[in-house]
Amino acid sequence: MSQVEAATPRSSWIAGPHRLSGTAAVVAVAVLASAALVVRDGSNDGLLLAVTILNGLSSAGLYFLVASGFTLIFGLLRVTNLAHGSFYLAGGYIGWTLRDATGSWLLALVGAALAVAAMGLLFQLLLLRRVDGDPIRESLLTIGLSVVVADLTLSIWGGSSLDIGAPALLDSTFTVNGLVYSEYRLALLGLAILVGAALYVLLKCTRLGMTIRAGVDDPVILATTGVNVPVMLSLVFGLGAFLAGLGGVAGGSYLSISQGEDARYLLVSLLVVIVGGLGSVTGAAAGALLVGLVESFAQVHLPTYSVLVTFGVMIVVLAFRPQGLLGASR
Amino acid sequence: MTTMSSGLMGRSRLEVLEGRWRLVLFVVVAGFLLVAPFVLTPFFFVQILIRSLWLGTVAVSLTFLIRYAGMISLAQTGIYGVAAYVTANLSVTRGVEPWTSACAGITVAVVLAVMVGALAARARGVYFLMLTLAVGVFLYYFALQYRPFTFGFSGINGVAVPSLGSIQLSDPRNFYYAALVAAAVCLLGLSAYSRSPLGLALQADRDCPERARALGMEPLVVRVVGFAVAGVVAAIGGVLSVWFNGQVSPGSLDVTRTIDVLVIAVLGGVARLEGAWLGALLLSVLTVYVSDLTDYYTTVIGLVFIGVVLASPNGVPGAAASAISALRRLVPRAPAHGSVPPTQQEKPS
Amino acid sequence: MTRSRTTRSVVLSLAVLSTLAAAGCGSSSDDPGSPTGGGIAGSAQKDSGAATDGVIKIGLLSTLDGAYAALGQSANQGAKVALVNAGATLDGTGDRDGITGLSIGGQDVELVIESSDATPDAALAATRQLVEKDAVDILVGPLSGDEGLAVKEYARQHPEVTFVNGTSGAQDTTLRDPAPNFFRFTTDGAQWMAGLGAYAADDLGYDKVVTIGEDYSFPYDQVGGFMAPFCADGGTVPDKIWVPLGTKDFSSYIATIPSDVDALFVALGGADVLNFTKQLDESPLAGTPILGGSISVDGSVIEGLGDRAEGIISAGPVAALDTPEYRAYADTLAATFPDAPPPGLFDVGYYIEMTATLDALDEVEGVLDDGHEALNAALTSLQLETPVGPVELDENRQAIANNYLFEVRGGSSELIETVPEVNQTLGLDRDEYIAQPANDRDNPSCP
Repeated sequence: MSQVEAATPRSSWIAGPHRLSGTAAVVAVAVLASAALVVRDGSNDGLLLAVTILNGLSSAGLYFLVASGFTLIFGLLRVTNLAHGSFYLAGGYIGWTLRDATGSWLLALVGAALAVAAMGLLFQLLLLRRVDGDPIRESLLTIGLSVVVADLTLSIWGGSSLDIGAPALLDSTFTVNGLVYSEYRLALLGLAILVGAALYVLLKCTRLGMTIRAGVDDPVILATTGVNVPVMLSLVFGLGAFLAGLGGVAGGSYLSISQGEDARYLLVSLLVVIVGGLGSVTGAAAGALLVGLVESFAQVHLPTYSVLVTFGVMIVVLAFRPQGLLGASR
Repeated sequence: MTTMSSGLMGRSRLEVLEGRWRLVLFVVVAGFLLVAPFVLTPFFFVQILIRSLWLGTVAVSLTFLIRYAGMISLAQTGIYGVAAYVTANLSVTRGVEPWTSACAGITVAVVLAVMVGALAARARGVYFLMLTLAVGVFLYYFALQYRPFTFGFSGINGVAVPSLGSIQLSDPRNFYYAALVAAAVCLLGLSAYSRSPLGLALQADRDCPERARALGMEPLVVRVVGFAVAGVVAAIGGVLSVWFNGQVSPGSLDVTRTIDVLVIAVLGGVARLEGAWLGALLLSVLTVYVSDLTDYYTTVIGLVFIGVVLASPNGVPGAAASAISALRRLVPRAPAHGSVPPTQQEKPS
Repeated sequence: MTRSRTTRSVVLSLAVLSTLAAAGCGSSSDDPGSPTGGGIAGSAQKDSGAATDGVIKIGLLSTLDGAYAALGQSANQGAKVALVNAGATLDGTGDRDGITGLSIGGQDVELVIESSDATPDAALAATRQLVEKDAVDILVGPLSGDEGLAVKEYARQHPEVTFVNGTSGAQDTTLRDPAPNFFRFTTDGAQWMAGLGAYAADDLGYDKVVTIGEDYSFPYDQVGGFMAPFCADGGTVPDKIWVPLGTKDFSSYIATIPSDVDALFVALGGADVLNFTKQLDESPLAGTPILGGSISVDGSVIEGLGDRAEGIISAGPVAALDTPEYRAYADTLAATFPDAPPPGLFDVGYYIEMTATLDALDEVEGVLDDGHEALNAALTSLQLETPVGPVELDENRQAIANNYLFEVRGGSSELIETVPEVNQTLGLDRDEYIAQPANDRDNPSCP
């Protein structure tokens, strides 16, 4: 059975015709739809448009931070990590405790992300590995983990939502031409770009990245070349958890952290990677942009059904490009 | 991802009971189910047994999909929720007769299942799982936001239970037997379907889509129809649930409930369809009685779930069967005729 | 194949047997079925509601799970203060610890605690467990609005049990189509706003207010309770923003608020007010005055907002009064639960409901074997002097009580006005009031 799997190209995640191959077409449709909403609203308010786009971009930044970890784990381990939202939650809570204890935001960010990475690594080594090669049971284990994490975080940090707070340096607004916007949210977008760039360099320009990419394409052949695949898998799982933990602190610093955020960010990750294309970091970036922008426009123009609109985007994308915007179409 | 996880598909361990003993087991279980209303405490009977019947009916649609189609669908809660909502809305706000409402509910849910199937059935394995999870959550948000029909967060209260001729189904005992019949019909229907040409095609497609296609089957159609059949069963579970609770709200189909149904399928094991009801019974008992013992009962359920996934691909029955074979090996005795030695167990598909 | 044939015959026979059994038992049923309530009414352990076992069981239902766990913890503490006042000894200070040493009319009082996560589903499941498994005689709870609507429907099917509300504040639990055995000694979400709308329009001179609230029944009632007098006194509400429960990022919603509003009415849960206000102040609307809902302005919000909290006006049923009742309650709460926050809406609400329950039980000397007739009559005619003023019930068994207006001054919420004896129809004629559409996303409306 594993031979069948290994011999099958990755595109067989989706069996079916690829009717439309234009990524651009889908993006254009989305942008046009948003534009139509603006026109329909009759609002020519440039400031509103600017703020909406900025909100979309900063949300996209946060979504990318979280979803890139999800897509990395999927791409290499073929594990649908349904505990990814729990990593976000744990990251946020640990970050809050660290910020509360030390006062340093940077320490909270790095410390929490590392702690979550360790947690993920441990989970992968102790549990996931035992059902290696069986993606469904691996996903089921991650669900079990998410149930446990939700209950334990509730008993440790309680039910109230906790605000980590933005770093003092960024805790104000800037004004350009009457446009008022939060510095922190813009910085968050910067952080996402930074992380994206680092991931790109890691994957494209380092030996580890090369190995990871080889592992995504064909783990069996990779193993025959002498690479210690199990160690690499653990490392990537840890990296994915690290990114989720990072997202938890980054998000919890301006949106606060509370019970229920785990399901929310798991869902965001799913949307982003399904829209963007599974296993691809650039796909995650494209998916995050689309989801973030559509969500922010929908909240302005169709507030009651904004959540449904983002799902609608997913369904439209799937109908035309089952492999996602930038999914492999080999 | 052309094939499904082997571990969950295995049906080896359950064959340790010989035919004779299986008959005895069946008679005991059936006898118990028939007299249960008269011997159990009212609470256990209503809140555990009846609840397990409808919850198991929802879960068996998932067990069926896993067992015969290799599709782990997390949209089953969404589908049962749609059936429940349509039934509730028609009978409460529009005064439609309950049976008609229920038929409408099941119809709408099945139409939806066909649509979801058409969208998701091209995907396989974990990708299918993700898509159906997204669909399930979409339906949750729809229930939460579309107030004109679903009444938002509060949902729809006061759903009346119909009568069947002169039999008042609002009486717990009558409802129990009705639910038992419904569950048995679902079980019978699903196992009959699995042996029908379409059901066999579904299994062929699960095992090797390329070969199935080469034999002239249309995989997408086979999968969508299979998904719709499971949708019928989930919808029946939805109608039972809304009658049982007299109420439906977004909480009936949220992620927690989705996970519950998955936990049930895994606890019950997917080797046999009946496992779904066993799983539902186990989860109901765990939820009610472990919460009396510890505040961390959710953690306990999570750990039990992890343990079962790790230790026994066939859920709790599989673990029990392993225990029986282990016991047999410990107690050296001439094997009864017809028993299969553990070493010659059927290989997982 | 033989195996599956066995299975098939086995299942078939099971189905046939069950059908026969169902038909056979059907004739024995003499329950005509309830005309309005739904669902399967599992009979309680006892049939007549008689407490012949010598124990009075009180069920306590609040939200100890999920995002509102902190509120449920407060609620349980308030309820237990009432029990302590009646002479009970706590098994411990934990949320789920029971009580001992209390007896009424020669019967021991037992406390059974269950929890929900604030969804109607979970509340209903917990209620069924309390009534059908634990066989409680009286149930106190639930905590949040939509839970109350679900429990009321259930109450209708169980006349042998007495239901006393927790802090659930949905108007229609008692206003429209009430259940005869459901009592609410706290005011509802609309009553909790009494005084605020008029104050905003007349004293503060606001003309144009935009409301923002979560998308479920409690905020609908809060916004409705605010708008009715505000609009009557000439104010307008050009837009009402409803955000899905659990929203943390309000920035896109804030961007749609017209720049010329006089104030914002915020009916969000406490922690979300913090998020909202921070994000508001990162927009061109920074500094816009805020009017708060009843659960929006608590100590942690005032602390979190610092100077920004100054001047926020809110309304609610619980105020730190200078009365012996209030001081006694606050002292007992602090002495019993040293970690408890100062008295607030949830603990005081549950305290009042539990006190009413125990007072009525005392009055009938614990007699419940008359189908709760005496107990329910005692509850109906009860007049309480609570820490937050006098309470009595109207014909729908709904509280008439004082409401209070607050302003944040110098880092704490100060009482600025008392609105006495607010009834459920907010002073309007009952028939006229009920004829209006129920509070929801669109009603009331005065753009």
